[in-house]
This record gives sequence, structure tokens and C-alpha cells, in this order.
Amino acid sequence: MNLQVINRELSVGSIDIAGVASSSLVLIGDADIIQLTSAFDTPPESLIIGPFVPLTPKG
Amino acid sequence: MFKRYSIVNKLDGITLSFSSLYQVGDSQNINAVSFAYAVQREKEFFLTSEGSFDSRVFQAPLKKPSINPAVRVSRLNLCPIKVDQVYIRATAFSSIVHVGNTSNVAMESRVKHIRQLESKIDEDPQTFETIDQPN
Repeated sequence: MNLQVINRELSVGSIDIAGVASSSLVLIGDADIIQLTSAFDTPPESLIIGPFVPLTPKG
Repeated sequence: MFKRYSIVNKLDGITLSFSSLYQVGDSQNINAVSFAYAVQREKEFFLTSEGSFDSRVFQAPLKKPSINPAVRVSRLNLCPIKVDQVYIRATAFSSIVHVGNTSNVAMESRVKHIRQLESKIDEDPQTFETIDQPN
């Protein structure tokens, strides 16, 4: 498959962003390949109600 | 094929932290990785030795989205990219603010979130000393 792209005028006045986090990208320009992966976990024990116990330290 | 210029008049920000960067100009390869163990507690109690990156969310292999080689892209660039003002308050955790062209970008983020709340209202509130020495 051939994709023909013609980039004509692109003019932006203002970009306002509160935050960029967790391996994110703000790109003003061109890129050939962008591959983003993300894993997020809130396991059942993510909400612990009870006495504060330190989490298992590094083994 | 001529590449596009990126013209930015003003780039502004307050915070740049945790292996983040501003890239002004072209780049070739970007490889960013961020591992975060996010713990929120009702009381401020944190030990530096806590937690580990042993769990599945950090260890399991993540497959990158595949690229279809059958798709061929040809670009005709007639104009530069113009942006007058950019304001990004905070950039954090292996994030990148990039002005200019790049070729290959691969970014990965893994986050594990834990919240700890205090048990009951009628119980004695815990102090740092009782938490630190539970026995």
C-alpha cells in the first residue's frame, strides 16, 4: 500500500499543557516510527485499609 | 525529500524532572523507559527500602506495536511547522518535549499503584514510631 502525504501549511498559535509524564512525548516535528507501550497495575491489594505495614522490600 | 523545519518562537516550562528532557533539534533514536511504584498513604510514612520491581507488571515482556512493512509512506513537504508559543508546566518520568524531526521512537512506561488508608476512626491513630516497630 502506498500512502502519499502532502504537508501544506501548519501554523499553530499556542500550545498549553499541564503535564507530560510516564514516558510520553510531545513532538513538534516529524517522525518515521513511534512505538509506545504502557503497563499500569492497581492490584487487589492496591487499596489497603488497616495498619500501615511497610511494603515488601527488595529481596 | 526535504525535511520540515519546526519553528517555535517561545518554549516555556516550570518543572523538568525524573530523566525527562527537552530536545531542541533533530534526533535519530529515542528509547525511553520509566518504572514507577506509586504509593499513596493517608499518613506520611515512607521507607526508602520499601517495595520491589519483582511483580508481573514490571517483569512481564511488553510487545511493541508492530510495523506493517507493506505500507509505504511518501511525503511531500511544502511548508515548515510553525508554532508561536508552547507552555508545558511539567515534564516528568522519562518524557520528552521534542522540537525537530526524529526517526525511531520507542517509549515504555510501567506503573504500579498502591493506596493505604487508616483503619478505623475509633482506633488510636498510628504514629511514626508504632508503624516503624510493629512488634
